[in-house]
Amino acid sequence: MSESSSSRALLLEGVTKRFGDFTAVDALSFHVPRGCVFGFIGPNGAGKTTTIRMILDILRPDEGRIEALGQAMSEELKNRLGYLPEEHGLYKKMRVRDTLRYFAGLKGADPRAVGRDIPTWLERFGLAEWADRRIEELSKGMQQKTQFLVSVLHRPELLVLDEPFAGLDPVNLAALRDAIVDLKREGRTVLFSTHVMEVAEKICDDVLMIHRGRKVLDGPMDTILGGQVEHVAVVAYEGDGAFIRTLPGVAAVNDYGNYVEVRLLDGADSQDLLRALVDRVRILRFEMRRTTLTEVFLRLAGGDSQAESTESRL
Amino acid sequence: MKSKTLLVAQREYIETVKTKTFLIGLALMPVFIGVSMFLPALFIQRSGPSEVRIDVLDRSGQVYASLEKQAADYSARPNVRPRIALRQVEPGSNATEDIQRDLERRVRAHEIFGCLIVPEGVVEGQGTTTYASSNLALNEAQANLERWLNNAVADVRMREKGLDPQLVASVRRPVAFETEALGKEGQKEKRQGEEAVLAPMFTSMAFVMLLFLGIMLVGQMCLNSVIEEKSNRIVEVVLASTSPGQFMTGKILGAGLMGLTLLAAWAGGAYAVAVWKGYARMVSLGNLGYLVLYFILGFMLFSSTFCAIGSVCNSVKEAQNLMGPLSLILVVPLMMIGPIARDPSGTLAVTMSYIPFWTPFVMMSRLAASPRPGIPEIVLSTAVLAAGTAFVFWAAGRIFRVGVLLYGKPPRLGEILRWIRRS
Repeated sequence: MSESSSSRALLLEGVTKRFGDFTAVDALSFHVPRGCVFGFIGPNGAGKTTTIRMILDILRPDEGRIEALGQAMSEELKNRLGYLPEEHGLYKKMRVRDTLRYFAGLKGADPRAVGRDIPTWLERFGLAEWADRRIEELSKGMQQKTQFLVSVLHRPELLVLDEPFAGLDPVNLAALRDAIVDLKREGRTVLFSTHVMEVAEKICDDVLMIHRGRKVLDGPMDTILGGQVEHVAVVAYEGDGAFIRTLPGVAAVNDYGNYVEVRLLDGADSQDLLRALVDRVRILRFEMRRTTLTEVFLRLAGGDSQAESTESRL
Repeated sequence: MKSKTLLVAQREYIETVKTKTFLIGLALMPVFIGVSMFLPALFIQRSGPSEVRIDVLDRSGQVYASLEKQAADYSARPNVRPRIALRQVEPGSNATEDIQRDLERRVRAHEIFGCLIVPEGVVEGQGTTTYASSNLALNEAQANLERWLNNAVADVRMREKGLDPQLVASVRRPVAFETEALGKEGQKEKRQGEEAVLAPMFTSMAFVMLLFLGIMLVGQMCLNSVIEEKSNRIVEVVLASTSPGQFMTGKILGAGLMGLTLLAAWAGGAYAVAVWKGYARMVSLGNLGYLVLYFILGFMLFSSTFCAIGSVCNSVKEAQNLMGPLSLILVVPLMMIGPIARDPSGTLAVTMSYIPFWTPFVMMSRLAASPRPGIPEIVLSTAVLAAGTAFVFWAAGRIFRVGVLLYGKPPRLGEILRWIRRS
């Protein structure tokens, strides 16, 4: 990596963006260490996309400072960033190969290097046979994969992905997840926003959550998920479990029909819960696990985000 | 490494040239121009019957022979349409009224094209000659008959006064008559008859039409491509790589090159057709350089405007509302072609030359007409156009930068003006 002077891939300080009377992003500060995978979460309308657009100089902040790879935005710097927008931004009539070449060219990439890399990437994402098809002939998932290739072909040092997993089936989701992990191994930094908490939980080193334009959570994933302390009981049972909610030590209950998840208050003992249950219902399964990112998300986003909870459980 | 502006321009050009719309425009427009320009002329010349028959009742008995000879001479000339064939009606003992009634019946039944009834005292100046036809729109017949009859009567009168028929013929010998269009000193084009009037009109019409269609078609493509890029969120990907200025400049450059391609193809096609159909002498190519100059400036002006409009709209439908006033501005000089060609140095033409949105069209019309505007006027109006274009390009860039990322309701005009002043 040419720019080793700064250990930060990205730095935001007091960044604010208003649209008329509406403050989309409110004095947001955070930094992303180099070489990490950074998760960016928050309910719809929290200001994630606006923040991402400011990082890429598509929008200018009203206040505050943004530095990527240790420097302020410039033409040269744009070439070292990669971007995948939330909605597909591809020319429908253009062919896949031409699309990849064009956008890599706009990033100042060497056409020969790009020409060499294209077949490898297409192969990896199962798009090799589609290289000479028009974008409009591709399925939504294939378009999403093409969009991802557009964001990485010029070998960016910092990759910013807005909802990269949206619309992908489990196979493609795994392929994309693996690609992100590989980029990290090559020393590149990846920041992505997502609603797929399970993936974020597995691959992110750090996570940032914003809500209504403000930061509500920022830190290493392990710390956020409460280390190894097990907080949640997964219980499958027969009988009427309505009473579980009222037991001492229970913070919240999520009923999924086939089983319930019981989140315990800090310091509550899971053995007490099990004892209380055995008396009243027939237990089919009882296991402890640690807090998930989904639960953290739901707790922080509050009750006004019920729609989100459905989405985030996907 | 290629500049990003050039990359954008190259994509714009290549991807548009490959589209069906472009190919159809390329192929169909010359056909359309050809049809609209040549067909009416051909139609007027070639339409109608090739020969009309007119029955003549000559009560005086003194003029028919002369009429028939003049009609035969006329009809023997090349490219006469319709030829006029006369036939004499033998009066016999029937009353004029009866014969007239019978002839009119035959005209109504389309057995004959028309009938001419010459009264007995025609030479003495008594009575009225009547011509009747069911089709007076085809006026070659009545105009010629009136002239031929006057000739015939004059001949008879002169002969009655004892004048030698040969002397009469020599008196009636026509003069040689030619029309010249005067331009600058030393420039003199000899044209005959209607060509003298039509050629400058024709060339300026053709050039202005080319300019108009080129600018409109390519401007429209510019508008559509901006809207596509905006609604498909392509702008986001592009703007993460380039500045809005590079992007817009690249688009206009690419579209402009495409416009020049179109213009070259159309002008070439139109000229080829003109040569093939024998109209080449109606075209003067001296203004081709100006056509290119005015296309480039006019195109920059309009495509900047179109890009700005496209950037604040989310759909083609929305854009159409904003396009209304602009189309109106564009149509004005087209409606003024006639008045400008008739009085190319009049107040109207001169004033319109200094309004940037009209300069290309008006100057193109004026350059093709005579008297041509002088060099100072050409330079000054072009400078005004260039300054206007530069300003619009700059303002459009500011609108584009903000508008292209704005979704939802299109902004009000006041808001747009604020973007131009601020940022």
